[in-house]
Amino acid sequence: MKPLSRTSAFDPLPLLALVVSGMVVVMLGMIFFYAPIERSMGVVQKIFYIHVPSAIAGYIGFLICAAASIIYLLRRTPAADVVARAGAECGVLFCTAVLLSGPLWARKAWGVWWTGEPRLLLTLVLMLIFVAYLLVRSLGGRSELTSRICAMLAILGVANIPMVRWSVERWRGSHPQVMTGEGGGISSEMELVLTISFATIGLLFALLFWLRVRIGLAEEDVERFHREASARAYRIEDRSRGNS
Amino acid sequence: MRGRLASQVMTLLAKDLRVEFRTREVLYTAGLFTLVLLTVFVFADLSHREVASLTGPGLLWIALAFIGVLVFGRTFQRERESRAIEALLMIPGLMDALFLSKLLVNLTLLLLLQLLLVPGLLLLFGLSPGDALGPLVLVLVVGTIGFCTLGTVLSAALATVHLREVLLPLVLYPLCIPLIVAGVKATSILIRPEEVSGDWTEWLGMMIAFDALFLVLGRWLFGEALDRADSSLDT
Repeated sequence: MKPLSRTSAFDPLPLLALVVSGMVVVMLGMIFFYAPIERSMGVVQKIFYIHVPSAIAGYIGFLICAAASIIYLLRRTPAADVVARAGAECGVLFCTAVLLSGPLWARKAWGVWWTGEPRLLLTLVLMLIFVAYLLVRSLGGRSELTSRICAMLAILGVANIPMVRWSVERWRGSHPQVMTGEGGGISSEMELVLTISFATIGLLFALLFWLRVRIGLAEEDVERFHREASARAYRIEDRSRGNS
Repeated sequence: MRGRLASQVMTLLAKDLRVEFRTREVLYTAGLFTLVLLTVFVFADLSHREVASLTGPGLLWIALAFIGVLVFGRTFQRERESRAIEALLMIPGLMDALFLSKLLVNLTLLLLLQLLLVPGLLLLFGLSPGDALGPLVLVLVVGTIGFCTLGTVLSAALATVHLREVLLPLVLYPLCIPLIVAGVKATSILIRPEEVSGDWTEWLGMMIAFDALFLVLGRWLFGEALDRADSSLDT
């Protein structure tokens, strides 16, 4: 039986981990010491450099999860299931960062902890769907059926995005216009820091995702070897009983 | 072919409804739950004259969501207890009929329970739909179709999962957010046309889109959920 997880002499993962760690330090340094302080919102605006890339990373995690889930339902390849799970976990992780940093920023910028801001609501709803997904995964146990149910949930959740988006946008009639950084004049220093934080968070996401996929594949292998070994043990037992 | 599907659906639907109307398990428990829920709303001071028109539409949909979970949780209970689902699934080409019949059972029960819920809530809260009764019924029916579709698919998926009673609302409610937003909005517009601006048909359109999307996706995923080729339906 061919193992799903592959090992080779050269493993680039530690190298990537080292690079990402260095980049995180550089990113934090630039956010705190290089990026200018925004005029109207003050120092709290710097949350933006973590907040926005994390949101994009979280959404990408959910999209990966849904795409892998479709492949899983069509082909039933265990690797797709592992990828879907890794995508959901990383998505939830980065969305947590968004939902923690969002209110902190909102409190200072708009004076409230929580508003009916459409993107915040969409993130919250998606996060709830995928937390439920992970809950079903852990309560359902490791089985083909659990994988299939979770694949369904991921597809239903992502198919829902346009409608959640549409309804939360119209929910309050007029929603507060949010500073996105793209519209209002963003200085070149800010742009540089934002680019770096996008690259860093993106690579951090890739690192965690890759790590999770590798762990998942190894778990899958262990499970399969275990099953195979116990099946063989039964066969040997049967044969010896037949001989006696 | 189409005639066969219709007759299969009718047979399965008649079977489920006959069992339900003989035992009245769901109707009695969920009906009583509806009354209890309305009482709780009243004692939570949500039916005060000043706030009733504000809280009414939201509570209507919240109540519907609660009652729905009670109904959906029973979708496959009888089949699970008697292991009859395996016999049903042995019949080739029954999946469409099974999906439609389970959906129609849930829809019938939930619409029947709304006959108790909606007038009860309007009465207790002193609200009146006035001329908007027809549109209100339309909004409720369209919303209930989408809600039942998701509920049926998810209860099929979770039929064998540990802690399914707890997981069903956890999974169902976030997925239903667009439906609940649209339902509450449309109901508010219909009940308080002077105060709430907006076009209820726009929200109805969204609900129809929601229904259509999840009917198509739901049929596919329902088949996947019940594909028992490699696992048994253990309780």
